[in-house]
Amino acid sequence: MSSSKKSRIVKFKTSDDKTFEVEEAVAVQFETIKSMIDYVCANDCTIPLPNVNAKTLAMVVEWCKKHADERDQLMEVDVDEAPGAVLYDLLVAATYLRVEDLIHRVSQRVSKMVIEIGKLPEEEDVRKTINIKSDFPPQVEEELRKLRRTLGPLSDVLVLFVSSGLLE
Amino acid sequence: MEKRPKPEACSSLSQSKGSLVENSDRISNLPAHIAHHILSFLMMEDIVRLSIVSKWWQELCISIPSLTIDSKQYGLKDFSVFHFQNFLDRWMIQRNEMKMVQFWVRWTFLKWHSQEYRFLTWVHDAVRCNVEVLYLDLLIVLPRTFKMPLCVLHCESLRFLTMHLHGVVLQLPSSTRFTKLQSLSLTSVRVLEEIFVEQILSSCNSLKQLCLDDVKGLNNINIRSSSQNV
Repeated sequence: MSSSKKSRIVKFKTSDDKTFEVEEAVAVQFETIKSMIDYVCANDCTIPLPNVNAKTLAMVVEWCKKHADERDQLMEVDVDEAPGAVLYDLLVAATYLRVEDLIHRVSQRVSKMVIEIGKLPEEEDVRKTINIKSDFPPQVEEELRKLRRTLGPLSDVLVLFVSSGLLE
Repeated sequence: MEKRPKPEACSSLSQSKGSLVENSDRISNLPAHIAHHILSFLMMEDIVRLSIVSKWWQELCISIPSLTIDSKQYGLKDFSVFHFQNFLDRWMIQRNEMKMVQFWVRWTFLKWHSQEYRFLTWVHDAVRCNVEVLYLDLLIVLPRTFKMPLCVLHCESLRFLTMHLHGVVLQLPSSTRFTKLQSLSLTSVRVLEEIFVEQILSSCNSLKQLCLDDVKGLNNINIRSSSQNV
């Protein structure tokens, strides 16, 4: 980032009310912001980010500062170790700011967690983990449980048919 | 200068080891295209498993724009493959014409004569859903011939086609016309016509990339094309 041109600063206000100063070289990677940088810098505006907190923005900024080859290392340390809630915040931030590479990388990581959750033996455990309640009619629920008991692991696919209303 | 991330912010990452969604169903709150992107890394089986937890998940799963099916997931047991095929047919019906960007098929056909229609139905459904990227890795045990489905040739939306045929003969109908195809990749394919490549090139007006790997039956390749970018 040692360009001869004087680097401009883009100011953000995060959801937890912190002001965050980001170099232009990083801010241009936020697709959402890109086109307004000139205006924002000329008028000394602060861009509000109502759904990105300071901690998350710091992670996004750090990620954007790295070169592509270093990013993966950063992800290994910061993101692969990060708990789900942090990943979620990061994903929301990356989506809001439209940092496509980051969206892709975090989505990939989240997908691994989703697969793990999906592999839980009982669908009730899956629901508990992601904190949702079944909204299927009770008879479908009952049929599901019965099938699971009688058919064992091979029934996985079958179970899906019934529960998704795809099988009479 | 940028504000450095505070050290305590970093350390709190490792403290709060929690589940993916601590107190709310956070995935359900993501925009659908992001949730779909997450699901695009999953195999069909995993997706289907998730679709049973609630109606929201079910709708999300059914509308997924990128579908990957792999017969290795189900072994070669007739029972599970048969049921999976039935399931997939119904799935496609439910999708109706919702946009499908990618369709990946990695499938072993032990009885092609009785399974061909299944395959054609899936491909036809994908074409109906305006598929853009089609990846076909087909192991056809007998016969050793594969006819390119007409609906693929005439698919208006198809831009990338990759075929891995494990040495099977690829036959093109006489009226081959890929309208918008930009990239065609053929691997482990046998061809009978000497003029196969010419036939392909003359029928693909928008082709930018042609990859041939382990294509048997070609002695001379004569590249003459109306499209400049090949």
